[in-house]
Amino acid sequence: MNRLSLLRLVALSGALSVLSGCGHSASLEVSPTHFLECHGPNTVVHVKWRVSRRVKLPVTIYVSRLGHPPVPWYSSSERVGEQDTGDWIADGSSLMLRDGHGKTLVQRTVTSDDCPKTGG
Amino acid sequence: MVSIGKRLHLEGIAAGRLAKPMALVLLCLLLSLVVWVMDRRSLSVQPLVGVIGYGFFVNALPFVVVFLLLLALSNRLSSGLLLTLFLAAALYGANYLKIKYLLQPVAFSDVFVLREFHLSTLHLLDNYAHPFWLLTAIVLLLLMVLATFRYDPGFFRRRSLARWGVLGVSLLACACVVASPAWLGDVYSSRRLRVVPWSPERTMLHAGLAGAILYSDVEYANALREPVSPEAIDAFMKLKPPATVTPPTVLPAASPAAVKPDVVIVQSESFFDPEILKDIDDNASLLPTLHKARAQGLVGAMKAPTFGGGTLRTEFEVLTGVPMLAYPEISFPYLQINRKHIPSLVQVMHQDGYAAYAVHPNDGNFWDRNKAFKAMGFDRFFSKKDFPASARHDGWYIADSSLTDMVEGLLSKATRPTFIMAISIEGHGPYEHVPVDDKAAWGRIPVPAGWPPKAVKEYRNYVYHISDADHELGRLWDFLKARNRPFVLVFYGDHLPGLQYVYEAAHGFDNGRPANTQRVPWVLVGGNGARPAQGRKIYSWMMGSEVLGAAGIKRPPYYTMLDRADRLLDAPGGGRLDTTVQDGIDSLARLYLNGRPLPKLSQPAAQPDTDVAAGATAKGAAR
Repeated sequence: MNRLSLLRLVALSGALSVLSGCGHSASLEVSPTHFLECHGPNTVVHVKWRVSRRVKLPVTIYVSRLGHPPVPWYSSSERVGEQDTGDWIADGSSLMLRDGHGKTLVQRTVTSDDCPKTGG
Repeated sequence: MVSIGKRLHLEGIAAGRLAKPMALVLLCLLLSLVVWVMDRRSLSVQPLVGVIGYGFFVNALPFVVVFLLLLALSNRLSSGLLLTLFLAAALYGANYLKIKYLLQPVAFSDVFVLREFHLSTLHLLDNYAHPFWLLTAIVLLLLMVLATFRYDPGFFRRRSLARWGVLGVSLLACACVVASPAWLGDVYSSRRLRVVPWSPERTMLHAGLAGAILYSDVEYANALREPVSPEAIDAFMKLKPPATVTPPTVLPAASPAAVKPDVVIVQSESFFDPEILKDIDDNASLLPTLHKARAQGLVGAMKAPTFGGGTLRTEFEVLTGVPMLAYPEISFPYLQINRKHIPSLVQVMHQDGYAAYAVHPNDGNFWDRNKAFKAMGFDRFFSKKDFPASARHDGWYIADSSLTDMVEGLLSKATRPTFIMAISIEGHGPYEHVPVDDKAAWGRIPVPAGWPPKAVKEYRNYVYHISDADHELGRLWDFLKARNRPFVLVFYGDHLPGLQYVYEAAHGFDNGRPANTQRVPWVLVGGNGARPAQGRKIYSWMMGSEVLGAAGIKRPPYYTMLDRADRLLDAPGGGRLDTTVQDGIDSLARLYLNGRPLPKLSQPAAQPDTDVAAGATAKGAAR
């Protein structure tokens, strides 16, 4: 592989990592990220966050339903924490971790899957 | 050794020949990925959610086809890619803005807006997007495309068969989109795409915007061919409305010579009562006429079929009595129902001897109203060009006071009973920056403490203009009363405004439900008073029946059905339509719109408010 190809590969990887949000100094884990709609259109998810020392506190987790503006849900002055949502996470709902300046650090979107078909 | 060398040489040639197709495939995948990220961003969800799913590929297909077409035509990889990305960015930019302001994504039916593109459309769009930046982007793009012809070597060799092949395949794909063959319906099927009919956003989440648009394209041919369900009609007919929720007023028998009331409907742009917001308790000083009407028992709540925009949907429901839900694939009825005759309230009024006028101080071509109002039978449509050049402006458009001037002028000249459909526009957004005539009045509008500055400004910008609308309602009411002739005056908001900051700042609505599910107020003044509006929740497609009832005009069969649905809604536990009523009315609406006979009621629906023009005379003049 020549040097030019290598550079192209590095640039592409960089672009992809930026797109996938790897460049942030914060993480937001949501579990589950998918749910089956068999038991209703909404679900509860468990949220864990972690932010580095560079991030201004407090951090706030915003929630937005698909197509609607985000609204603040949970605010914390801890750099690491976890919390359960209520039974209001729907298909396409997003959770956004924002720093003390209001800048979005990470976003996670929960999606649904159809119920598996049973029988004929 | 020689044979190995030969083999390596041949493999090298084969690899060289494969390099370009491989590069093209990789580029198409990269394009698909970039377009998917744009799609996700325009929907404000995580950038890679749903990537490599079925939706990812069917969403990418049209962009790949456009890219290949441009590549084959220009023979330049970079120009094809640049133009495709620009088109994608424009589409997703529009989608982002539409979701932001109207809470719904771009849809296939939006092409009808572009098809009827006029200066007024441009003027409206100009309020939402900055034409300077768009123009700059287009100029830059053109310069870059020109540069590619200078510096980018041709992708295909001269007289390349591959180039013709790519051109042929991409043209064939375009033709398929136009013709929508059955197999395309299988690729873009609702099951595979996981279409959610009642939620365009969720459909887009699953299928991507382009996937959802292509799905609608395939479905469009069948938009007006919604099936009529005799079972649904039968189930609806079997429901028993309460005998009379509000006892009819005892009125003197109608005499043929009774004076028919003038009927004025005012559809007020984006009008709703901010008191339904959690933080707003009392706005009697801002909307005194609405409060006066409420004190007299004349105000109900109405469900409009749209939010933030799409005025014509409410207007269509009011004028035709056809619920938009009866045609889920139709978003812009005036544009999509291309018929010379559209059954409407206007024809009912005509049959009763009325003159019928529509008044709207915007370009008559906007939403294709010129054509639609003609098809509905209005005697004349007074649009912006019919307003004097000196007509007062406030906000982005002609002021509501000028609209009232026009309505009063028409009524003053009338020689027979007159029906006027007046559609205002002063209250139109966007509300972040909107001109106001009276800055002092704007500054006096009270705002709850602690609201962020953007919400304060937006709220004042909005309330300033609906306060004008309320004032004009009062003015028209006084005018009609002073004429000493019977009248029916109806006033309602066409939808809630797409406010960006206010709903959040106000902590939502009193009922805890989202903005796009809230109701607008409707006011009915005059008429026979048999069914006062107070506290009644109706749907906008019931409005025509309400008007006929209040004016004492005999309802034709379809409106009798609407009245029946209206009364069922009034039943204990009513307030929301159950599926039996909605499905029944949807099927009846399909028969009605297509001019097919309606089933007869075995027992005539109770019509305590339909036979009394004289009653309208007495009460209307008195209020």
